[in-house]
Amino acid sequence: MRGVHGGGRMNSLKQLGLDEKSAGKFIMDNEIVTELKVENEAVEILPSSEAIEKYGEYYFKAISPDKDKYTKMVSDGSVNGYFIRVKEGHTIDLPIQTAFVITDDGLKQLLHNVIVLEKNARLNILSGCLASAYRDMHVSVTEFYLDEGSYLTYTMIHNWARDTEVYPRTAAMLKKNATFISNYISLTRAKMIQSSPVAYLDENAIARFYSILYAKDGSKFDIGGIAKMNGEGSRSEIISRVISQDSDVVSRGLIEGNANHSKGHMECSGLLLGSGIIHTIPELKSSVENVDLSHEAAIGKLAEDELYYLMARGIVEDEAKSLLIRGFLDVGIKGIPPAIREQIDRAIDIMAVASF
Amino acid sequence: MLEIENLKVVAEGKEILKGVNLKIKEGEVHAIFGPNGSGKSTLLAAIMGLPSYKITEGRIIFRGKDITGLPVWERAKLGIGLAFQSPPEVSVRLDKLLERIKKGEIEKYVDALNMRNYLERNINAGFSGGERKRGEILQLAAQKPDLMLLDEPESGVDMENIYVISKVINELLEKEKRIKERKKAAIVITHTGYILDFVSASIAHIMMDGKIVCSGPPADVMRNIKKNGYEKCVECMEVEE
Ligand SMILES: Nc1ncnc2c1ncn2[C@@H]1O[C@H](COP(=O)(O)OP(=O)(O)O)[C@@H](O)[C@H]1O
Ligand SMILES: [Mg+2]
Repeated sequence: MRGVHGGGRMNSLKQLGLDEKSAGKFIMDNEIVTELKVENEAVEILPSSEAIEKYGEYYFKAISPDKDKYTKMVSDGSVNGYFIRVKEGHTIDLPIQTAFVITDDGLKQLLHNVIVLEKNARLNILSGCLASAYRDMHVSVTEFYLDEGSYLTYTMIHNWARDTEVYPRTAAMLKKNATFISNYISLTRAKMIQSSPVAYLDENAIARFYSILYAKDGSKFDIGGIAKMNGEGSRSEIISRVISQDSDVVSRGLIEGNANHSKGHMECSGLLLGSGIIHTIPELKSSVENVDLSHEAAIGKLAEDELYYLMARGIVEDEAKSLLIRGFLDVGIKGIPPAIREQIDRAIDIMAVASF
Repeated sequence: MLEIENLKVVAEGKEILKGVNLKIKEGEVHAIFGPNGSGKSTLLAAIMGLPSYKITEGRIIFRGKDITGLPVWERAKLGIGLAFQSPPEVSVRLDKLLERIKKGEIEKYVDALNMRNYLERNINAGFSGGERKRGEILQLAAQKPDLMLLDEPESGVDMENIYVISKVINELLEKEKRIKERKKAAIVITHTGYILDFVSASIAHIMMDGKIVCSGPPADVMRNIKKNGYEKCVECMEVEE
């Protein structure tokens, strides 16, 4: 039996880092909020069902409900998900942890999340998703509002079931000098993941999207990132490491330089194992003169000479392969606290390498 | 320790080793000279068991065991270690690999070889020629092999660092012990012979066109190569025999 119930569920949540100390927690099982805890006075966490009354101005402002059929599903459904706000000028050291768990077969988990960082607030969110059901679906709209000088690290570690379909719709509005670091880690099979978060950057804002993806066993991933640099001096980076093992992956990226002195860089490295497909679609677009945009993309398979080099040190073939896979997934994410980095490393060790 | 009998090796359809015979005892260091393309690296690759070199005839016996058909990692586990002539960039952090393969303490070698700043980088990623060579020796220091295969360990390394790597190689060879007590051995391929100023060899061989064409005391062999070149040297060495 595949289960996230009882001990199994605890272990799986642990894998996603949800046993650690936090500044707040929000856990939803299927369609019910099973834990909501706030441990810092500068933080407010509400279920979206309540927040939509109090903070209605943030809902469907960065994303239109008519964007596509999935945003429509969320706007038509009952309101679930969380609202998180950090008050002006506060730095929250411990992360806020959120988790969405699906255990009901056939469930369509519809979510609407909103994250608001007021001026100069700083926060880390560690978000886990976990499924162990059949024919399940996770559809979410997530909107970020990062006011001037705020700094958010948003780390998603996902552990879907074989059969899960996942359609996150994400947008982030970055005011002047705001920083948004988004880390997306998905290392297990999923039937379908389709996601392309958008960041809109004002003056001197910074957005960095990192994706670490391991599509295996007939998964279909279509994942990207979009940065629209609308303010002078804004910067963006879209970096991905993608493994496709008998799976079909499209890795996209779009960086738009719409203001002078904006700077963007995109990097996609793909590794093919078995009969995988990787299709990278990096796009750069600029409408002004003074911008600096670049991209690199490379797709390869495990290099024989590297493999034999490790084996010549006495390492058996399978282990040499997993060392190389581990090394490949090490993207060297910048600007995140050590605890989050450790969490990401741990997830990769457990989910990508051990299961290889 | 190592016995190679009539070894013939083919790479991509071309015969590269054409019947090599070599016997190495514990405590010995064998130097191999020879022109570019004569098959020196191929010999080490065949001993190590690297792919793309197919053994068509002959045997390799290591510590009494026929290893001719063993996979590369098994040979490494038996105690054979190779310092590559041109090691590839490998997408694994150097410290992670060392952690995985080390037998005992290696801190002192990290410092001796000036490699501390390279530990957190991927193996050989952006390393200069000399840094790669030091990295190779550091990995051997972690492996502590009984038979070291050193493929031009000093090429591209400055004088100061040749001394540094030689010191480590000597330690790994237990050179501080009396000859009879040494259990380690090495094959050193060298173009210049510089390394032999610091790592003393028991015997030197000249390889030409896939064969060991002559053998003798290292100093004599080197003097002959310098004086007469490889071709001539073979003739006169044969006369001396
Ligand atoms: N993997 C390979 N495939 C095909 N030919 C090779 C391969 N490796 C070496 N050779 C050829 O074998 C010959 C000997 O090479 P090598 O052993 O590297 O010589 P050395 O180390 O003495 O300079 C050369 O002609 C070289 O081009
Ligand atoms: Mg060579």
